[in-house]
Amino acid sequence: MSATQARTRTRTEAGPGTRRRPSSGILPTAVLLIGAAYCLLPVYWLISAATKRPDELFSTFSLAPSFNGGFLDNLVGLSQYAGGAFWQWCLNSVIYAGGGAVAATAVAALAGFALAKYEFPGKRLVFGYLLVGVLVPGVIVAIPQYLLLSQLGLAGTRWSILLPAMISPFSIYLTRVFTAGAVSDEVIESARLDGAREFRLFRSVALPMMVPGLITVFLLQFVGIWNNFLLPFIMVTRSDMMPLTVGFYSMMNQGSDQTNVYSFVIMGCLLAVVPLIALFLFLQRYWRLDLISGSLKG
Amino acid sequence: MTGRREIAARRQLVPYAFLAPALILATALLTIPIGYAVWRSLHATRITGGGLGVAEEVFVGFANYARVLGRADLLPSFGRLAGFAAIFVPTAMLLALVFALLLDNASSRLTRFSRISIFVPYAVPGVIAALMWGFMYLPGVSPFHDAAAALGLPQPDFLGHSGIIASIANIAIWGAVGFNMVILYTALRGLPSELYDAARIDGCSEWQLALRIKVPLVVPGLILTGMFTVIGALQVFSEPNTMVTLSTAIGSDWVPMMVVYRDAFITNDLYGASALAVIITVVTLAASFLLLGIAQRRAFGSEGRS
Amino acid sequence: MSTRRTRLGALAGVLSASALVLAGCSGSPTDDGPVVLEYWSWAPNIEQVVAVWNEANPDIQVEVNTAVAGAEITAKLLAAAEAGNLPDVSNTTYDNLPTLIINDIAADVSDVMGDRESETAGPAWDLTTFGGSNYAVPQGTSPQMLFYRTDVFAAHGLEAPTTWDEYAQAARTIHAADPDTYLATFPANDAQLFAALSQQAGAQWWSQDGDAWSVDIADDASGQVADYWQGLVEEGVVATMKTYTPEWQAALADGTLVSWLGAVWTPPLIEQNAPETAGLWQAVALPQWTPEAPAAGVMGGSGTIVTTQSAHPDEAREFALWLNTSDEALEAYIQYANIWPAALSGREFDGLGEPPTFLANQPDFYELAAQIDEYTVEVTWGPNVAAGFDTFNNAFSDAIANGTSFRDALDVVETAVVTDLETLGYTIE
Repeated sequence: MSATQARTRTRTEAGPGTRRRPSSGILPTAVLLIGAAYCLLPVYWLISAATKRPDELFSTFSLAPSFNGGFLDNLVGLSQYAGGAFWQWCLNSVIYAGGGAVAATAVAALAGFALAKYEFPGKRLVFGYLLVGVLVPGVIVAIPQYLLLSQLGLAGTRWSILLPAMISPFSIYLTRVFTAGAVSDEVIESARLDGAREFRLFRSVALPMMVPGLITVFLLQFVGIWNNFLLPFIMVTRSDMMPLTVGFYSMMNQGSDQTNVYSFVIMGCLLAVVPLIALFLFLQRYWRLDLISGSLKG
Repeated sequence: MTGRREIAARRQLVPYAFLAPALILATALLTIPIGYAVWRSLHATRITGGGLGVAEEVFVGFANYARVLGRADLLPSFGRLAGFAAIFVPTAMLLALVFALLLDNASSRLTRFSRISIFVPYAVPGVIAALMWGFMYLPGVSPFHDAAAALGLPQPDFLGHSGIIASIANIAIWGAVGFNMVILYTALRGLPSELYDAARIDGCSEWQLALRIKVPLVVPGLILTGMFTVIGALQVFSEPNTMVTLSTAIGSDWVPMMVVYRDAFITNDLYGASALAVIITVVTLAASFLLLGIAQRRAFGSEGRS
Repeated sequence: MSTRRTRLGALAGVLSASALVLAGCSGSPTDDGPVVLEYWSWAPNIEQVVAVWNEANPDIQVEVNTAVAGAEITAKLLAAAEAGNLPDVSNTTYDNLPTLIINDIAADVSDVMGDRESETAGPAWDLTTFGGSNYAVPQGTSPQMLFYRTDVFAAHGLEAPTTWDEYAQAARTIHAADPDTYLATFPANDAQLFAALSQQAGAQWWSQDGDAWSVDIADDASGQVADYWQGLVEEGVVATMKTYTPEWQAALADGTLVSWLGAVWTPPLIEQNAPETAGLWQAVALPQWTPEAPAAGVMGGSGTIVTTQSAHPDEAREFALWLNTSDEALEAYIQYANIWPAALSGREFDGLGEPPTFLANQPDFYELAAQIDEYTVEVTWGPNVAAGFDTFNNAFSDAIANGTSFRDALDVVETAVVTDLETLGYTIE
């Protein structure tokens, strides 16, 4: 399959060195560094603003960090805000993103495997049916989902965020594409001849080969849920059910009614963003985005 | 014999069993909700009884659709969406392509640092991105205002009517470039290096190489990321919604999704909101199928492979 | 509607049993434990008031949720009603109460309120009583006041304005002296303020005659207010930033804004937003159009509803009544949130002889509130205030941005409100 071929030809991480020439790279390097600065500037601003006491936030130069104990004050203030709500939101985000992504990946693994490795009546129809889901923006189904889950009495519970996160048509599509290449038909046939039952065959033979791709699917879905705002914003009203995104929004929007919280919001954003960036850097080698760029050809 | 036939019959059911969770979830969480939205869109509450009265649900046919489409604030919100998309989609795509090509350029230095830095915003939720940029736009906190003052330039107006669409597009661009760049970069690295050697021997400069050879070869990747970007643009909600508290220029009807949210949850018109959600779904589906059709013809056609 | 609810309710029962595992047990009593009431409020320091109740009532514990901002509480109540997970008790502003009644969220609380008319301030009673039934326990009324920075006024040789002409003159003087300083902002996002200012001028935006409603948002009184502010905005002597935003907060704190058209509940909000300015503020009656016949609009004010979905309606009523009429609660409320109680007994407190901590320099603060209460106009809120206020925000934002007529914006609001009422099925006069 072409996706496999593309991957086998892919140069490895050390690759560029092989064709690097000693030519002047000042212009391209400068442009890239400008891009990097553009992307890092808000993060730097966040770090700097998080060090400021509330009264310094609007009165000192924005990019100059402050060392008057504001950082610690904000940290303590944020921790104590509304009875430790911030830590509850962190936990909720982990539950929603972790649980939702695990479930979505499991569902995608099963469905993707079936679509990639079996011929059966109605296959095109099933694939098409699932694929339309890629095209319907999640934002738009959020309100119908809310209406329906309301009728079932589930809106406002953790299920109302977890359930919609469990189905990701794009994950299924991606899994189908890379499974077609990653799991060879011969291996499956020989396992069948050895008498393996179909589910065992999936679990013991196919799944190990699919793992690298499934990690990427998991990460994509994890980030998607972690960053989602509208769905949880619509679904939950109680503070102890909110993920970080909705929590910050609610904090930001009650600056008028409750104590001055902008400094806490900023500190919270920092605490929420840094671990995720760290996680990314750590998991970098598991990112197989060539799956996506290869997927269109599959 | 019967045993083997049973096994064969069971094996026929296997793919359906594997697909069952996906089909059940897709039906329960995508198809049925949309169906339910259609049902709601054909109903409305009407007041019965005197005085304040009590609201009751009745069938109203297409009245909600007529009402929603006839509203004065709908067209401007689509207009702003178009303006946003017109800035966001090309800029995000162009920057992603340029950065990907530069990363792949043999003479670039510090590529690992740049690649990771540009990818960082992908890990930042749109709400937090909007808060960060929102504060950076805010007179009094903005480093740009400080910089403009230091240089004696007029103060930029990020949050006013003239600048707000570009300001919000900037937040979205910031969040989208890294992901698209990495996909395109991965696609570039999937290309065989022999292609370049021949071109180099022919005296192609790195720029010519990029424009004449690399770009045409990553067209499928461009179409894919382009489609994600367009769909992302149509969904824009959390950035402007978060910015409402910061800018006078953003009303509750700024983009169509905000109108849907406003109708559903602020002005308590779930029925009108359902009608509008159905309309947007249909429009998005039509646009996506159109894009996908073009993409398939380009990608599958030119590649000529399975 | 009810049959659909019931059928789906059976299904919901099955599903929600499993959902409870994850959902925790909001509001549901454990076998022997205390009844737990969920209460939504946005009032500053409300936790302290609730703590007084919880200590005295070990069997009825109240969990207060302040995650929903005052401006969003109606939206969130409507959403929760749809989802069937309303809190037991909630605060609401008077203007949103009709919306909550027609959507079957606010329960009839006549059995605890019905006999309290003589003990309740008249305007608060009227705002919570519909068709002879009480739908909320009124918490307070909110006499409109002007808060201003005494130091800045003194520096410019200004007195507190008593008429709108003087107010405009003060705006010009202050801005002329320092182009970075404004007397006030005209906030496009604060329909409540504009409504109150219009009421002061004599407007009745909604009124009810029998079963028919009439809407007069673009009447002469409101138009007069619109023209007045449009003039100040065009002169550039007032700012146009939205209220309750970081920019506005910074402006209060750093002296860009030197007054606030607020109400009795304003002091703790200034304190939170601009703590450094303590001691520099003074509250006075609102400037008047006709000083010989003073008037004030209804600027907020809120009551406590018991929801129709409460599993403990009796306990919820008991708490709602206690919260707004008992001596302990009102004393705590006055201390922490500067309310002006609707319960007449609450107005006799010694605590009201003391000014709010933030206005320590103004011993007659509550006396002033009582005076203003005397001439606060009677107001009827319609059943679609949220839709009207939302349109107001958008229409006035556009008008300010494009420099178009504020009167035209009022026309837009009136048309939207009428259309919405007609869509809902009301008769319009």
